[in-house]
Amino acid sequence: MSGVVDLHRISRIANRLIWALTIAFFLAGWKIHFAYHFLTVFFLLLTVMNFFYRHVQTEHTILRNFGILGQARYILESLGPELRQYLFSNDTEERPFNRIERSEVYRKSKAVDSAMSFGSALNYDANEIKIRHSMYPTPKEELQPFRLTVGEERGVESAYTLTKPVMISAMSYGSLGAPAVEALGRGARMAGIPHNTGEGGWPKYHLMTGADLIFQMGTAKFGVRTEDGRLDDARLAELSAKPEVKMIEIKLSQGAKPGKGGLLPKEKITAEISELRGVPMGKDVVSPPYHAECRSPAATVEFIQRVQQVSGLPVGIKFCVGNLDEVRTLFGEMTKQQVFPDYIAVDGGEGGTGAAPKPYLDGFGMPLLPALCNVQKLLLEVGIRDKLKVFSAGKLINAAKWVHGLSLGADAIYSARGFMLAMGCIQALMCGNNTCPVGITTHDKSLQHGFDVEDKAQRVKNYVDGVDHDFEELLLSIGVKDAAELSPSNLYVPPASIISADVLGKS
Amino acid sequence: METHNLPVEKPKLSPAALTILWIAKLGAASILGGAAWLKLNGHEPDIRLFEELQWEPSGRYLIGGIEVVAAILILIPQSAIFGAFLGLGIMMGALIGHFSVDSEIIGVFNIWKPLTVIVPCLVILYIKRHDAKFIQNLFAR
Repeated sequence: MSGVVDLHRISRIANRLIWALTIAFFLAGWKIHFAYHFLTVFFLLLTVMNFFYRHVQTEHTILRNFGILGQARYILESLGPELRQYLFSNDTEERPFNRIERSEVYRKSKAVDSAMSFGSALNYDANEIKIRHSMYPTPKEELQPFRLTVGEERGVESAYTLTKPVMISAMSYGSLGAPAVEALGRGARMAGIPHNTGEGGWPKYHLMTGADLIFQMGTAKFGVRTEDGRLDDARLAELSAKPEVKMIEIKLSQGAKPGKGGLLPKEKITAEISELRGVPMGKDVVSPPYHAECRSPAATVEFIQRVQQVSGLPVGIKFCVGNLDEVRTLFGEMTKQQVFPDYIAVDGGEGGTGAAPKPYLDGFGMPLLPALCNVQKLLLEVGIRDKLKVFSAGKLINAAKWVHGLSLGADAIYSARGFMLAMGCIQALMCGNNTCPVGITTHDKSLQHGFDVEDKAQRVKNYVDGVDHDFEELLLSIGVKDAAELSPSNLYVPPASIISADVLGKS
Repeated sequence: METHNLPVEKPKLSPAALTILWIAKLGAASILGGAAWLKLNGHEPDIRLFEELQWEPSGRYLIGGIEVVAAILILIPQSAIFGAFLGLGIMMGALIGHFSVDSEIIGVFNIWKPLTVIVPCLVILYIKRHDAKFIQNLFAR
């Protein structure tokens, strides 16, 4: 075809050229100067490699047909994410967070002014939710400080009071390396917010930071399990007695892979992991997709009560919304037994840092905003909204997003990836590969080398302070005196929005 | 957020593999080191060889230097794989060089000597293949 590069022909020439050059350099080394043999060796290795690609391996058709030039395809493909991120993608294109969103977090974490000029870079005609401002903004001095006491409905002696609307969401030691856990914990302590441990077992590294902790209990109950994977009451009581542990969270499911468990291969169970997670060495450990104690709504509510009694702390449940009838039944069972968790954390199906099979990441779980609307609606319908608090998690990384979540029914915000970005995450999408280039989700010492705990802890604090400052400004503009006054009527939800059916009637 | 992305431990070598690895490393390093010592100290046959190659003394020092580097890299666990690559390359050059040199000179530079380095280098590369992603990825992506 004229005008089209014939790659097959080029590769045929290249494949001949490689061995021809080998011979040429050999002759040059023989007749002209021995130093040419450096090139003889190089091209000889290429010839061997090329022969292997073309005549021995059978896995890759491209390499069989095109030889060593075919590697260019794989090299360019592997460089694709970097090329797109640095050169070709525009500021609003990337997922899960585009450059505009990431840059705002970076600026907040570095305490740099994030004001921009000449208008919004977003497509303002899109079906995006906007916040309704008031013609009569609230005077600053009338703004009430944020206070949310978890466990007050039940009269828990050790009820926990949040003084900022955000918390660090579940990220275990394991999914994060030790320096990142330390930076998050120290940052959380400085900012005065709690830090969720994730389901990584006994929170040894989280405890070292002195931050207020929310201990997350996953389906495998790492750290507080019996050998057969059920709850070990004594171990939970021991952990709950630690002054740093302020709340317990029972994770029923998570946005990254709702309805899916996991497998901890025996090769990864080191002596430390065995101790922290309470699992034997030399044996694969299965994280089931469900809690062994929670096989029905009644059993689930009984389990919540048991954890409340054993721990003596506020106890919440976290789930990603799937079947609304199941959620309604669970709420009905709570009413029947008159047992309520102290909070419900609604995790959006947008997924998090957790490595998960692609169909789960992309295809499972209700997105946060409709999930939040539905949970709020069901809580009101069943009549138990005043019995518990609602937290929401799912890409709520800036003040406007906090307002969205809080207006649609949440009482406080969980964020994980916002804090990862604050620590310098560049969205390399390598969280599950142990190759995180900025040393956050890796245990490779050479990659952790550049991660300065003190600096990153300060950035975590700066990020909380910066976004909280913006949030207070937004509250004033909305015309409310307290975050608790936010409601769906504070949002402009375009008719084509995914949540318009849930909100439009009220807006 | 659970990923089970725990600290990864490289596959542990069996005692037999570890023994073979160290024999190969010591063998390759000692031969490379010995050859380098002779070259850098002006061993007469080496001087004649490089005179024949019209590369005396710079070539002798260059090749001797590369041999020293390869020997050191082979002995350091973290860099053994790179040392083995370097040793393999330099000795392939030596092997090829046999066809470029007068047969009388080859007498002092016999063909078996490069092979005594090439074979252990290949053994090192095979046993340590898990240490270098570029080797793992060479044939599979």
